[in-house]
Order: sequence, then structure tokens, then C-alpha cells
Amino acid sequence: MDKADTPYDKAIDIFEGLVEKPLRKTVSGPLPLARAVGLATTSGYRAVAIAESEGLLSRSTGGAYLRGPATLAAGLSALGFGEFALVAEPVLIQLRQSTRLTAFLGVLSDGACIIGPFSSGRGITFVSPQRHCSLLTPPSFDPDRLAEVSLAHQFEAVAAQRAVISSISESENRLCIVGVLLPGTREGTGNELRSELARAADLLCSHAEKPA
Amino acid sequence: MPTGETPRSNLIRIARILGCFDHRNSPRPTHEILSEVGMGRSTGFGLLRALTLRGWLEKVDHGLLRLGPRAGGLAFVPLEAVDTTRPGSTAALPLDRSSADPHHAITEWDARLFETVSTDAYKRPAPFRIGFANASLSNEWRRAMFESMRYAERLHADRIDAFLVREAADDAGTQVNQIDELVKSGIDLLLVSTTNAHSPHLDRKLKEVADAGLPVVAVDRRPRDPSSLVSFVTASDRRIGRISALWLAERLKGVGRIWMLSGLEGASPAMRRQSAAFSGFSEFPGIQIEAVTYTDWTEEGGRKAIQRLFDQGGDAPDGIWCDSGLQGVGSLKFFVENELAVPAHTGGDLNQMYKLALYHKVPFVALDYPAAMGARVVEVALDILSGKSVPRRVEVPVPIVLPRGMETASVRADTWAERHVGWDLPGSAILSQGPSLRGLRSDSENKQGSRHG
Repeated sequence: MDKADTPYDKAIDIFEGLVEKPLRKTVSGPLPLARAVGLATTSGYRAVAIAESEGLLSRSTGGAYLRGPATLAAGLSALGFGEFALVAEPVLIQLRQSTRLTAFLGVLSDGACIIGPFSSGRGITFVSPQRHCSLLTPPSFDPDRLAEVSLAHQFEAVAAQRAVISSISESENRLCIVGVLLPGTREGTGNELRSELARAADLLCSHAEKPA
Repeated sequence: MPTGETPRSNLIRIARILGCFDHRNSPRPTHEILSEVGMGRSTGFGLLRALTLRGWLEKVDHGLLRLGPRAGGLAFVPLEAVDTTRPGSTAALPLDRSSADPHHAITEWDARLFETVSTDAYKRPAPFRIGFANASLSNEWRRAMFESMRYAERLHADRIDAFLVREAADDAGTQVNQIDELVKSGIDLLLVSTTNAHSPHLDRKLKEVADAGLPVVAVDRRPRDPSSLVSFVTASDRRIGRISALWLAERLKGVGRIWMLSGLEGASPAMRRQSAAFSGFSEFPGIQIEAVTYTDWTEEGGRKAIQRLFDQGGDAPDGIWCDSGLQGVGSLKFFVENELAVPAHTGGDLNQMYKLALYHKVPFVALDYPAAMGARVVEVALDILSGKSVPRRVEVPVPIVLPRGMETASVRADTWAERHVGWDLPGSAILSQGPSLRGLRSDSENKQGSRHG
């Protein structure tokens, strides 16, 4: 926390630390998080409490900090798809439970895939997705609106992960998708998986928040 | 601004600035942003400028701002904490499996989870007065849920003027009177955990309250008629009932005698878990349900139920299905204290259940009904009073907890019981309590410290 020039910069440093740290490290308890972000005890405790109260952070039932609902809502709005913020969590968790694979919402734009909220698979299907990926080839959606794609790490041209995706909304040359990450690089998906994904896509489309 | 109060710190201001753009990120004039967030021009322009320089906002045109390129990265949100220590060799099989896999579906899509409710009509300036008509504090789980609520109340203290609580000792008539008291005291929103799902009197009272314009939110237990509710915060009782039954049936290789110990007769979670368990067991023709009984979700209730079933001349069953460890502990203790072989059990929640089952190496599956829903319902209440849309039904996730080596074809662990148990915590601790469990852990550490000191 040493680059702050003004009180505003200092506050932004704290905000950035608090929303980034839980992605890199499992932290339980306000003081460990404050310390991990480099804050003094008293002010750190208060900052963590404010962040949780404002929805920037949330806590799992085990007490670990996660990014909160306000973070998700702002992020999806920035990408132009804020209408999915409220319904993303129940749909993705059910998709993960029914397929046992990592389920995610993402935004495709200019050959890149920005990964949004996700629910990770368990055991051998556990994948912690990359935040920014690139698509090796443009998706070719079949009549069911599904496509199988290869995702690569950003700036790399080697397939790191295969995914099956479904488009759910389009806005300003961006495509919002829901998908699951397939274990390994094996091609081909079963009908059951496709039908679960199609169901998730339908639910997201039909239950997205309508504009006020 | 969304909540009516003036933000006291730049961190709050940042959160509210980032939250004031619409779903499509339409540009907004700076003066409009400052007015909505409740900031003066001097502080406001300084903060907006700093956020723009760091890429969280971007200028679109003269005097117009929208969320910037860095803000898109905030969408990268893991929705659940995951135990990554699970070994791959016994991990979950993906859905895309061979047809020979003897697998039973453990998840059913629940369309009720995706309906959202607009709450503009309930929006008012903070701080709020919230009333909670609680069914009872009759067991550890209910006390843990209440602690979780208190945690959220403290966290949001600047937005909550009063948090009034009444406890009805599981009596519907008392609860109706207490709801009247709370409404008369001028609350902005009523939280309720109902005493009994079959009380038409309670249904009518809640409808009357809702018709008068007061938002009503249920937690854990809802009334039979849900039309009075803006939202219902719960966990999937069907998931608890179905998965625990599937695990027990698969553990017994599809053949065996089962005793079922449900919680409180008439309580909606107990009914839904029992019904889902029946449905799970029905997929196994070799499973014979010999007894179904109620235990009031207490250790003593569990112990007495097992004693009674033995007294009726029954031989020890192959498996005991409990919808919670609250009574499961009583059942386990009965077998241990009488030096009988302990059959496979189900039921989580209580730390003592995990301690006993692991110590005596009892095969068991646990699905903790999350007491952390107490904190979640307070957050939903605050969202409603701030005019934010909320889900009609909120389900707090229920992880599957198994000891190592106890997974079956359909039921795989989300986390291992050996990691989940709180050896340093009292047996009465509810592990799904969320952050408010920290207090218990500190108490426990202090006691150990003073003992050693």
C-alpha cells in the first residue's frame, strides 16, 4: 500500500487489494485478509467490514472470503450483460451440480473470452479458469445454439482447455455465453451434457432481469 | 442514492459508484452519479478522476462516464469456495460417462430458483427497522442461525436502526401475536421463520401483513401459503433428503433395512427431506423402510426413538437415515453406549456428529443445512428495502461431506469430513454457521489458553 498519492488513490488501492486477494489466496477472517492486503489492523478490519457490507466481498459457509455480489453485478454491467448478475449464481451452481463440470458465464469479443462468474467442478473435473482466454477458432454454433471451442491462455496459441458453450445474449459485438469446461482435451460431448447446457442457457435467457 | 444515507468512507463511495450503472453500462452525467451516490462536488470529482485514471471508469463524452475496461474483470467471480485438496483418484465422474455407470441423478433443476422480484415499492431511506418473528431457539441449529443473523446485523449496523426479535417457542398462536407486536412497533420489514407449515391462522396473518404493504421474507421455514412472501431464504431440503438416501442405499448395495428418523413433525424442512428420501429409496427395490419416526431435532429425541424401536422388538437395522445430525447424535450415542455395532448413518449439522462418527469410524454422509442462511436473509432484507431486485427463492448451497473412502457411484464428496470437522470446537457447534462461527472458535481457544496458562 505504498503507491497512494491522494486519499482517493489510497482508497482505490484498498479496494483493488480487497477484491483481488481472495482470488489468489484462501483467506478466512477479516484480520488475515487485512494483513494479506497490507493494511494496518484497525483500519484494515474496518475496510474489510465495509467491503463485506457493501457486497464487494462475501463469505462462504466455511468462512473463506469470495468476491461478492456487488462485484459481480458491476463486472457484468461493465461487459454489457448486467441482466444476468442475479440469476447467474443459481443457474451455474445447478449446472455444475448436474454436469459435475466447471460451469461459467463468459463474454466473447474479438477472439477473446473474458470469463465471468463460475462454479468449479470437483476432484478431477476441478478447473480454476483463466480470467482472460483466447479462442483458437471462432465458435460455430449448431442449430441448438451450442458450440465446442478450444480456449487458450491469453497470448498463447496452444489449446489449454476445451469447452462447450451456448450463446445467451448479444450486445455491441459482444456475445454472452454460458459454458462448461471439459476435462482434458478430448473432443465430443454427450447428449446429456448438451441438454443440461441448453437448459441452463434457456433459464438464463428467460430469467434475466428486465430493464427498469 | 440507493440507501438514503451519506457514505462516510471512500471505499463505500467506490462501491456505490461502480454499482450505479445500468445493465448495459449506459454512460451517465457526472453530476447525476454524484447525486445518486450522495457525494459533494469536491470529493466526488476527485474520486471520479482517480477511478478514471486507473481504468475503473472511462469518459465517453464531455461530462459522461461509464464503467471502464478494468471493471469488466470484476465479473470473474468464483461462486463457491472449493476444497482443492481432494485427491483425483476418487473424484467426481463427469456427466459424460459410459452408460454402464450405475449412476443415479443427484440434482434436479429447480425452476423456482430463477424467478426475481422487483422491490421498488418497498424502497425507503436507511436506517431500517427490521422485525424477526422466530419459531424458536429450541436446538443448536436454530441458535446458530440466529447467531449468523446477529453477525449480519453487526456488519450492517449503519443501515439497521433496530433489529427486533420475538421467539415463539414453536407455538403458532404465540407467533401470530408476536407478529402483531412487531408490526405495531413500526418495522419496515418482517422476517419470519414459521412455527408450523400447517397453520392457516399464521397464513392469514402473514397475508394480512403483506396486503398492508409490509414486505415479508421467510427464512428456513416458510408458511404453507407462500403468496405473502417477497422472498424465501432456505437451502435445498430435497437435495439433503435425496442425496442422503441415495448414499445410504448405495452404501448398502441396494439391499437392507432402514430406520428413518425425521426432525420436527409439521416443520416444512422435515417434510421435504423425508419426501425426497422416500423418493430416493424407492429407486432401490431391495431397500426396506421399517420405521419412520420424529425426534424434534434433538439428541434426546434421537436416542428415545432408537430405544423405542428396539423396545418394539426390532433388530438393529442396516442403516439409519437422519435428516440432521441434531438427532443423529442421539442415535449414534445409543449404539456406542450400548456397545452395539453402529450401522451406517446420515445427518450433518452438529460438530458432535462428525466427531463421533469419525472417532468410531461409522460410515456416514452429511449434508449440513446451512445456518449461514441467517446472515443471507438479512442481506436480502436490506436489498429489498434498498429497492434492489431479489430472487424469489434463495438457496444457500449445501455441500456433500463424506469421510475418505465413503464415496459411492452417485454420491461424491464436495469436502472430506476429516477436514470439515472442528476438533477444536465444542460438540454443539454448527459448522455451517459461516463467519459467526469465528466467535465460538475464539471462545474455545481462549478456554484452552486459560487452561494451559
